[in-house]
Amino acid sequence: MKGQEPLLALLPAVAATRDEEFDCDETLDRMGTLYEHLATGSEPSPELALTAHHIQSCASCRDELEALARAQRRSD
Amino acid sequence: MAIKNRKNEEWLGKLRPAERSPRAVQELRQILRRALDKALGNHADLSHADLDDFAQEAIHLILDRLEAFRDDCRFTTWAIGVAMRAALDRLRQRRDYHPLPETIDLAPLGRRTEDALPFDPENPALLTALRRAFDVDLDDKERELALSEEPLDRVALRQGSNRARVFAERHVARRKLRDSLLEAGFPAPVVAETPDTTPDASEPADVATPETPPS
Repeated sequence: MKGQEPLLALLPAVAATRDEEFDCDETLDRMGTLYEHLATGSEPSPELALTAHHIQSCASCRDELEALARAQRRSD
Repeated sequence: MAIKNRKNEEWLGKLRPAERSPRAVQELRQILRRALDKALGNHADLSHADLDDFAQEAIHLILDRLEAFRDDCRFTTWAIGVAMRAALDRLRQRRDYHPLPETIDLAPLGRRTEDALPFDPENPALLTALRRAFDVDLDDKERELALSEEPLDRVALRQGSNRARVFAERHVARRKLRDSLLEAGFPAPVVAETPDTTPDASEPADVATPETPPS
């Protein structure tokens, strides 16, 4: 069972996998929209949900959203 | 009109190649430079010259991909996002880079627990099926990607690939595992409980039994 532990850690990501997901470039093109949605709290579109889904599974895109938010928050 | 109130179409009009305004390019560069300073300026290893370089690189990227702007947010918000990717791509190549702290809660929008398939990690049969899918359905590269905890940028750099492609390959690997588990019958379908008609010994004796429906 010991050898299966790394696979066990995979399970949440496997369980959350969707048939179609945005890649990092598609996410970048929607990141500004996602940020503005988060700032205003408007009703999210299915596309924004997919964008958020990607960001939750991609540490690099997550980091970029945090940077965008820092830049915008301080200038608001 | 003040720059902060400039509409998207005005920005695009001033930045498209046919009518590009050097002044508008300079104004955008200043906006990006300030944004980079605000977001990353406290990074110990970053000099003013670094930030200037990042802003300049971002300007080139933005002007090259203006057509990718979808006009569903402020143009400057999109442009700052592009600038952040360009800068962070550079910073991540430095050994001492640490990601920014997570402050944004995406749970209400993105991956929600209730959306995920209810695979039971305690089920030994599921682990056996997962192991089999991992060994049989994935190739060597997919196995490595599926298990890797390395940031996608680093994987891409190591493989001479790019981040979007590595993400797509990892997605394919995870989808194969998910589909294999589904084909193997996981998660097991929930069986509706049938009402227990056995008299309960603890039930009070004077509880009226339902009348037999007419035949």
